[in-house]
Amino acid sequence: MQSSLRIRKITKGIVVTFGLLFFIVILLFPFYWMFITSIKPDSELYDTAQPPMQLLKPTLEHYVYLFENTRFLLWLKNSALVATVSTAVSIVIGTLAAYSLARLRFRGSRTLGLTIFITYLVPTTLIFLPLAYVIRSLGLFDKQIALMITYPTFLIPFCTWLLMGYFKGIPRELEESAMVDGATRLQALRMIILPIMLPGIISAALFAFTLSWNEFVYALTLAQTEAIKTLPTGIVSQLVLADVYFWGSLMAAALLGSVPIAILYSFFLEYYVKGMTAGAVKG
Amino acid sequence: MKERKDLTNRLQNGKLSRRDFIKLMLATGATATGIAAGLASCAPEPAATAVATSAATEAVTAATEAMAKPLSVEGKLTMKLRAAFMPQGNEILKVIVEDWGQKNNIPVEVDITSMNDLQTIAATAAETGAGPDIIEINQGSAHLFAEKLADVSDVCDDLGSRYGGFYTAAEEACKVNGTWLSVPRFFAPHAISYRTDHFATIGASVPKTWEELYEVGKALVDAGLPPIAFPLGHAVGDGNDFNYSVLWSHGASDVAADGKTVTIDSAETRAAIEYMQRLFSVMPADTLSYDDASNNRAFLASAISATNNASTIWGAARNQSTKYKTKDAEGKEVEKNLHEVTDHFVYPEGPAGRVTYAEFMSSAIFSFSKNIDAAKALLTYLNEREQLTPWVNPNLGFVFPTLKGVKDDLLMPWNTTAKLAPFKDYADTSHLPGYPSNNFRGGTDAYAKWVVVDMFASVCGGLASVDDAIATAKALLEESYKA
Amino acid sequence: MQSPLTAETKKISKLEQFSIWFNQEKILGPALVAPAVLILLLLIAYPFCVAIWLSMTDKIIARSDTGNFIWFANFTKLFKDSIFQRTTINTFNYALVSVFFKLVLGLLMALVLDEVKIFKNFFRGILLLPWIVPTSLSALGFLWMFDSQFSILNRFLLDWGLIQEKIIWLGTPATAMFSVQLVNIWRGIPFFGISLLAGLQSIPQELYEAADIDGASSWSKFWNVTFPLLMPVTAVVTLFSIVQTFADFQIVYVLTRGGPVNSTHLFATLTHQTAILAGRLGEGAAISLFMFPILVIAVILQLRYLQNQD
Repeated sequence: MQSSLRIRKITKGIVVTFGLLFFIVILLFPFYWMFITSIKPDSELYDTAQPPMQLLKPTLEHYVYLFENTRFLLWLKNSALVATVSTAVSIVIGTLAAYSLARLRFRGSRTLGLTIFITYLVPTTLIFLPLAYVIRSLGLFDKQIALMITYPTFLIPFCTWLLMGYFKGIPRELEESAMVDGATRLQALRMIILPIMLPGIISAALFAFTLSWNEFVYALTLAQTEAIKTLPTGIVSQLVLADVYFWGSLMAAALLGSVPIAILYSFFLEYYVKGMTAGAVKG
Repeated sequence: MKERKDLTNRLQNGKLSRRDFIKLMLATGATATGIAAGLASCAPEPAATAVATSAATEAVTAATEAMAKPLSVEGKLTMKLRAAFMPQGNEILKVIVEDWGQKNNIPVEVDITSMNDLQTIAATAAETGAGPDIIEINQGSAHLFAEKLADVSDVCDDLGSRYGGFYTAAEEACKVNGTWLSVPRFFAPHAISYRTDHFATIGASVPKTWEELYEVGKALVDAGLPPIAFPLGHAVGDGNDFNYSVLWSHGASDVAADGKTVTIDSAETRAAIEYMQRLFSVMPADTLSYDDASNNRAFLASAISATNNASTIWGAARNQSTKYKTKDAEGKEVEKNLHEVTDHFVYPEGPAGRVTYAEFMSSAIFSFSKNIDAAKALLTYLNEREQLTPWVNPNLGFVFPTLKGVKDDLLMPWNTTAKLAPFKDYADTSHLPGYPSNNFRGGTDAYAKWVVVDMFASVCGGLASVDDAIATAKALLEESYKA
Repeated sequence: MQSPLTAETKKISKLEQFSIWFNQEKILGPALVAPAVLILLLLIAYPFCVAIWLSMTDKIIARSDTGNFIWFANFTKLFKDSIFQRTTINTFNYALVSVFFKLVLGLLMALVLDEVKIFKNFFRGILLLPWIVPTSLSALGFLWMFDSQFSILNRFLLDWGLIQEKIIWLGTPATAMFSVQLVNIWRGIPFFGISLLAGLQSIPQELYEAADIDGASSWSKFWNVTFPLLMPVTAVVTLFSIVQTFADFQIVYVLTRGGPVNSTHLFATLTHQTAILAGRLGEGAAISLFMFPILVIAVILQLRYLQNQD
């Protein structure tokens, strides 16, 4: 009995280790290859005779090119700014909406919740041209703020939905007891509910930030000037020149471009998982 | 004199940085105009003196004109340009534009961006009325956006009269119902890049016809040398260039001269497809997936012996001193410079002679622009000889002027560099999709749908029979040429 | 609830009056949703309606003689269009196959990560990477990996003797579709993995302990405890993934532009080609609208399911 339990444990350990290795290899190999590409001199990169994993003379030339000949840092800053603002806007608006839809009884709240949710399904490729009309009439075309107000359109539905699930998981009694003590609903929300909601908010924010960081179609059409481009569109426009891809620098940009988000995640991962748990499961 | 020579070299090598360029300008106390004129005047041939003299006169005229009516803009003059292959070429262009802005006291904002983005930006701008003042558009896009573009006939007539007129393909692309709606800017001229050493090994001379090209391709395969490879994938430049050229030079076309009747289902088309199938049999199968960059990479890696391209392969090999491996007299493996065994030849002729596809860019001014006059002045300035030369030259053949009169200028790359000579007559035989009609709107539509490339590719890739491929193409073309 | 308070208070400032009025559910509720509704009305609903209208016109970019209302002519034309038919099949193939593998592999990843006890945050963090790198950039990375000449994948497969000659990843319809699906799956596994991990961790440990006491096998624990309790989160994550995958644009745009011979065109990339490159806005809008009913059906199914769960 005892030994069979131990065998089971060992087998499990082996299976888990292999599983982990499997995922590490398939998910991270592309990054490893991108990294190798980014520090390989062109002469080795395009030498089919040389074993591909071999690296004779590592070089930083692709990184130097990225920083000296493109506006990488500026785009990084733009991306960060746009993502931060649109995430903040979406979280505030989404939290209020989620609270209202999850907690307050008023006519049409159910339909409203459903409608907000469905807007998430409208693909960006469908509406980006009409949207450009709207942005132009608002006088915001080719300005950074255009992205800051359009990104929330696909972030708010998601945030609202995720946070609704979260609100439903928090006992009503908590805020009701606060209101008995004389607090208004909004006060109760701020003082009692929000602190409990923090993991949910963080996970919604991380998700929203990631989606903003990744966005391509709106950025391409609504922010055309080099100086206000975001990372994905900026890199593609300056490092993909018809006949030539600057592979080394492209890979360098892809790696450096994901570092900020990776850092964010490493700080908040615990919250993220918790937030997803509460939000998703009860949604 | 020596300094000038050095400058020319560095311009061509792409080793002239933007900072150096500005420094040079300051050092000579000149503007870009001055430098171009200076470059021209330092050459020994008498022709050059004439060029320089006329250049100087024109510069003065232009300067006087500029003084006559001071330009003003609302906000900034914004322009979006296509990124050319040579980063240095782009930088020099920026300097020239900024230089113009300073001289005329006009704030200019230049963005240099990739071709794919430009199309989206242009479409959005044409539809919503928001975008840059000047935009570079490709192929027959002026026909697509006709209603939203400013009439630039005065600019084109002026430039045309001064520099011997524009090439046919440029007119096809930019003149809509007799009105110039876009200022021709440049061709990305194509020729066949090939390995002289491999051709020598099999004793092949430069093929003059498509048939001879096939023979060379077969001989290379038989000799176990790297094959020829022409793109059959969705390669915006190279794929269209090759496939349309094969089609047209076999006497086939997708549309009749009336611009309405679809003529793809013809004996000539079948002959072109039959030829393409044979050619494909001596090409690597991955040509079906080639994008514009694939053939460059394959050639630079010595994996193929010939492909159609702009001069970018040779240019890159030269700039980066790309090596190839070979054996020396004693059979020892050595590395040599690839650009030394890389040369070009003009597109071969088919049964209908040489008809080639024009890869073409023009600069349009949107009619919603509030700075049309300034934009016109800038476009005139950019296309004058003095500004063309310092920009065309360092692009090493990747850009080709649209004005007939300047291609013989001494400093044009094909005149200074023997290996670029095959690019010199590219524009003479080139046309836009829609040829031989003048329905370039329909032609551009068909081009955007990859109808011709896909027709060839689907047969070569074994996805469709010849009849099916033609039938599919026919249905799509009828749709394109209808509207 | 507030009314006794109002009655008792004699002196009451305007502000307090307002605050009490505002505190009613029927007022506060709509007020709090208002910002979200406004921004979505202006920037989603309105453009969406314009898109629907466009899809029923013959609108061509920059042509004032177009824009005539033609009812459903664009749609009927599309049904007969060979490229569109192909695209429809492609999109379903792309989305269904990708989502299936993302789900299966994501579930496996969650089960594995749930058992990892050392450096668990480190492993979770790095395995999320594919999902957080901007798609346009990682797709370029794959373009490099699929390059016909320099493909590292081919090098491995050749070296290991698994293939005899180079696979032309992006050159034949089957391999090109496989390649774009591979990238989509690669990118989506971590999202499924982490989300399902979250679901796993919310399952009360007591249930497993109870099962242990009953002497249940690992498999029966998974089947009777894990699986049913994981269903809600799985349903939701799958829905999001279906939505995203059906409307996917960047991967195909970067890797194949729909080629070879339209074998990888998706609704979104065909929309871009038709509306932007060829300028046929009306037709383009009609193509992208085809995505919508499919997505709505997905949502309805999911919501039904979730309601049943409640």
